[in-house]
Amino acid sequence: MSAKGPILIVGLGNRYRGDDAVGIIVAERIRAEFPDDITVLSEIPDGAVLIEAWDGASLCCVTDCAVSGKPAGTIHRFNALERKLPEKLFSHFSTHTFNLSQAVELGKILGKLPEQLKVFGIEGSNFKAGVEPGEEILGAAEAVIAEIKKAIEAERNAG
Amino acid sequence: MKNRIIKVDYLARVEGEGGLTVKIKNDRVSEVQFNIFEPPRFFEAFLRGRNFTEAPDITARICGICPVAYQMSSTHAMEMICGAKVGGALRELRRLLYCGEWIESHVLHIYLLHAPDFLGYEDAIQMAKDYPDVVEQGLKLKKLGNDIMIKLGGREIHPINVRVGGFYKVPRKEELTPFLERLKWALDASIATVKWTAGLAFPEYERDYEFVSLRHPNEYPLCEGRVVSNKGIDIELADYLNTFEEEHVEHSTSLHAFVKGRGDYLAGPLARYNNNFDKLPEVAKQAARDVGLGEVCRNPFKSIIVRGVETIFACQEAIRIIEAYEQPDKPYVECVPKEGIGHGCSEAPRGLLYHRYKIDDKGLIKEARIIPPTSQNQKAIEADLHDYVSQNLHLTKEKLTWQCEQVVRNYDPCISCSCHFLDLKIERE
Repeated sequence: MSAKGPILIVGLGNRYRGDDAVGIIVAERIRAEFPDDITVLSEIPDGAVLIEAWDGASLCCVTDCAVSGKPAGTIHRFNALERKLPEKLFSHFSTHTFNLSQAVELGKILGKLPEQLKVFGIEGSNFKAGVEPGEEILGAAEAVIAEIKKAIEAERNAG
Repeated sequence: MKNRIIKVDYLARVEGEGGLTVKIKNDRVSEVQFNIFEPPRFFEAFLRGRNFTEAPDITARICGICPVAYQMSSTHAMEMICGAKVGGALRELRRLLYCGEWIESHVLHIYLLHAPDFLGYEDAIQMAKDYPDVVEQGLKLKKLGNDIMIKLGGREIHPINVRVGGFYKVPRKEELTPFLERLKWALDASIATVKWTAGLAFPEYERDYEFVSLRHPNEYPLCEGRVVSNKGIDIELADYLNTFEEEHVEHSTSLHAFVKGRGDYLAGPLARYNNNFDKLPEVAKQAARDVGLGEVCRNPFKSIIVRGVETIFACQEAIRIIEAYEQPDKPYVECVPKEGIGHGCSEAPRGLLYHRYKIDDKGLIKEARIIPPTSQNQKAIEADLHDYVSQNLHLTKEKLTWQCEQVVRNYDPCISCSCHFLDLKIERE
């Protein structure tokens, strides 16, 4: 059976800044494995675009690099509809607009949210320009990819 | 207390780092320093040695909010060197792309960054609880601007479809006509925006600014024209550096621009509006008249209304361009490099953006000079702060802090981006 609404997978971050690329890596792997029927976004300019993009989706999974001081590769998981995202865990898109946490809060106020909003934060430590993400980050990315694929299948099979 | 030092060490969440210091002696403001700690503009250095064709892609990375401005200033400068003229439908497509950027940038600022100040909210999120329809309208307008940029530029951040000479690919007519319905809605929404912003409470404040902008004989300026001011400047782009200068000040890593022999000046929507009111389309002029905004406005707090008027212009201009559009045979004009110097000025949403390049006969960049509007407005911002604080020393610390932030946000600079970027300390002597 088809999903009730579109499924949206979002990867946030900067592909050129070490561990900050992890969200984009996750999104692009999902895009490669589900090329035709899943919407994948990995070039998000600001939180306002997110709100418009996930509005009405039956499932939205967002992955971004996180910084909380925990060991690199630690995975933070949130059901963002039930639990407020820690504002300082994820980086800002830009200093001109609001971040992921604020996008969720604004989406709640405006009633523009997906039916499910799963957020994955993969703890990073090296954000130097031009370096590859660390091994622990890539390992965590694989785990998150597997979880997202499972969520997609579950949503597709849902009545 | 006659003597005070108001010191802000670190402005949180600004593009670059900044602080504010206000020294008060004998109940008079003796000094204001708007300290910006942003990193040096290495762009001017690492452009050297690159091919002239790379300038629009490299300079677009200077800003994620107004990349089109950098692309237009750089392409025009390079085309000047090559002796190439981009006209007709390609010129119109450039204006259309710019309209998209103006819409998304102006609306972002009006609704999400500036309006909360006037209504007493910490940020747009708090404002949305009481004004959900207003914020939603703003987001819808912003999306339209973004979508125009995606259609013409390939993506909204650092567009990839712009090249020296034009574009890599141009749209078919039928790809643009679907925007007309949304733009007609946006035109009405922009008129409503002007009415709504005009109802906000504005401090009574004016200064005798020198307003600097482009001026074109036939249109409201975006990419072309002469550089003019309300105090007599009327120059070709090649004379820009003979008229304006940048200096480094000890308390800031952001260079301060000034008119040689004079002082600070203001670039941006207020300058464009004041210098070019006659070139606005009638629908924009009428919207301004309807809310009592004269042909000249010197209150920087009312720049929020002017941005709304310019959003009307951008919507109307986009409609005009799309309705008249015929797909050109070729997406670009050939540009053959030769040794020379070129200048480009375009009107970024927040003001005049000047580029100057020198290239060799192989097309390699030998020199690059980029003067963004934020840099040009630094002295005006400091002057406003000095003036405004002088008139409002009686305010509480909290109120004064808020209004100092608002003074800076009037300029929609790339240094002021969230509600609590100022941490104002008051030290009483």
